[in-house]
Amino acid sequence: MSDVGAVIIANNTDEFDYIKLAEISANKIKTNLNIPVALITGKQVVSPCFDKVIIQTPKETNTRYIREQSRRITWLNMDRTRVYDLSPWDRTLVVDADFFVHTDTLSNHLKTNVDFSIARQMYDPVTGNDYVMKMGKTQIDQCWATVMIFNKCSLSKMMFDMAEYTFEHWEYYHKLYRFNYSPFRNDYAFTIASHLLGGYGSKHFDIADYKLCNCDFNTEIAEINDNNILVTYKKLVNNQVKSYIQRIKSDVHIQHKISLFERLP
Amino acid sequence: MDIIDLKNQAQLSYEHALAKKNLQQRMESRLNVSYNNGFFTVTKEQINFLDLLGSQEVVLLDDYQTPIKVNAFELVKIMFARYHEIMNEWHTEWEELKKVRSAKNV
Repeated sequence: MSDVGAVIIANNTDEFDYIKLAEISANKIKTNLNIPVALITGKQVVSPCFDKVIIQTPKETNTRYIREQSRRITWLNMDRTRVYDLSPWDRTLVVDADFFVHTDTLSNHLKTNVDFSIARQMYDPVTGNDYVMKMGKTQIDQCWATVMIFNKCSLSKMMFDMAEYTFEHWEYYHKLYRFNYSPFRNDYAFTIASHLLGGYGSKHFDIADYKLCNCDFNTEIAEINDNNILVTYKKLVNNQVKSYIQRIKSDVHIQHKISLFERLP
Repeated sequence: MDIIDLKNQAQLSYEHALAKKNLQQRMESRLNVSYNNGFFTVTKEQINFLDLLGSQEVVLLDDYQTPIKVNAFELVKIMFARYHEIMNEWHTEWEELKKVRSAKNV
């Protein structure tokens, strides 16, 4: 494949500087995977961290409830299904801005010729457990649009079109698969697309032998460094809540947005 | 990191066993190679099998269940190099982990 690169979608909100987060993520990708990075965003951005900047007006505003602060925040993440058309690369690694690449693990996956793959297997770095998240009450395996690799080909085109179709008919699919209507989740859209195009679950589109290391909403970020992050977390030990610290050097997805943005350098 | 952060960090505990598990997860996820558009996990069994085949051309199923034509001699050399690279890193980091005595050294 001639042209391999990464794509990050980021749009600033009133509260959070997602472009800055995308810059950090892009630098880590370049250091560890040695591929160019394109940013898809709503406004012109001038930054040496990105090899290409693609301007695309964000579709809609999404909201999510933040339990720690008892309030809703907005974020503009509804463009994931457009990445197939917008990506300037023949073979594309799509990652969330809050996914940090600290190793070369994905490098060999990018050198294969598999048309479409997406993360499904998970690893929790504060329990040491592998797991697969289940979606809604139907409990099918959830895929994570946090990390996807695709070629420009008919299968990938169908996958992205199907995910887009899911968004357009969210009411129907939320009732069919019995998951919460809000928030709109890219993960769910691509889970449904993978489920349908994989013959109702008979075929998975996993990134082979890849476990997405995920710091959940209870794991706070204490420090962000060039090739690792420091996290703190709590555990109940002998009926007492004890606080712990751990340095994570794997590729890692961070869900605790408040602490993440507080610790941005 | 300011003094308050350092003080807070000193109150924290550190799980050695978890750090070793995280290290294992990270190193095992890197124990792979790409060859002829295929993706192969590096295992001792795979290295042995390929070594046995010598310089033969064989077809192997990769981790994506795609049959890939490989030169056994070439692939075993690549796998062996990757195996050494990762295991040496693993050993170095393992030794460093053993030196961590408290949360402030993490």
